[in-house]
Amino acid sequence: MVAEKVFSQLRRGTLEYCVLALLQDDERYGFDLVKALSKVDGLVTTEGTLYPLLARLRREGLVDTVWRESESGPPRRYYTTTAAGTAALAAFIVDWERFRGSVDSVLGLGGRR
Amino acid sequence: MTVRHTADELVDAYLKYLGEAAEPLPEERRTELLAEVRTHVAEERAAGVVTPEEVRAMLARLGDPDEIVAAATDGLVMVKRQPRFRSRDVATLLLLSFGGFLYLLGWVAGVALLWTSDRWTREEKLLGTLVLPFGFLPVALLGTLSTAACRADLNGEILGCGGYTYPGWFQVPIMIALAAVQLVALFVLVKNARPRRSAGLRG
Repeated sequence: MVAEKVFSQLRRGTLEYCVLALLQDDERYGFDLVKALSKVDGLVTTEGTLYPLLARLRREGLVDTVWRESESGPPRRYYTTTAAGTAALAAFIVDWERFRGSVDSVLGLGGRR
Repeated sequence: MTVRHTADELVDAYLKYLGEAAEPLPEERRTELLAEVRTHVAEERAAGVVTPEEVRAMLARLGDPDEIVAAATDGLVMVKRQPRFRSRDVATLLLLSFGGFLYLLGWVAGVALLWTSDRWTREEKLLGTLVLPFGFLPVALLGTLSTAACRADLNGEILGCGGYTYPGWFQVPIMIALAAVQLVALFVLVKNARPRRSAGLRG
């Protein structure tokens, strides 16, 4: 793929907001969160790199974690969004729509919506 | 390459490689990352990844351990940190203090090491050189000179010293002062030693 480098950078920049978006409705078990992202076409190339991403979001206060007992096996770490995470996502969505519209209009893909 | 690996062997090799690749990470991050990946693998296997082929594909989805570690170093400035004291710096301080006892030459070697080191600034090097020349040797000499050269009476009263008089009340405070000054200088050098504080012969 010619644009592989571009897309790896786009992924790097947008993935954390996809994480925040998935956490808006509900808390999620780390493993389930990773698998959910990994099922989206073209979004995740290496599942393992999502764990450092989640750790960074937690350090930045955009997500929080809680340990929950599971019926089988050891306790599971669940991720939830924080107020800061929700705010960051809202701000990103505004910028993203404008950015996407700009790129689309220049590329002739339907113009501004 | 044609060797058949069991699923366990593949997983163990992967986790071992990841553990080694994560070595430079801060301990807390490393432990957490390894735990997360270990949990991930366990969940995958519990959810039906069984055969070596399936395990191989699962590990490929997880990604290259080096890449995962690179993602975890994001935002960290990874610097190979030099230890504050190399053996040459310890030798420098020992020779400056006690090198005088090695036919004086030890101290000279200590000064040479001091001035070619990057651990100290110019001012600290001056301090290390001038306080005191030959380290603790003058302090010790002062002590032996008096006992060797002074005659004392039965009560320990000093009668006189060699060709010159050496009042006892004078000598002890001087020795203490010299030793104290020396210790302070040594303390300053130990406390301030850091890599690259001045140009040294070798970093």
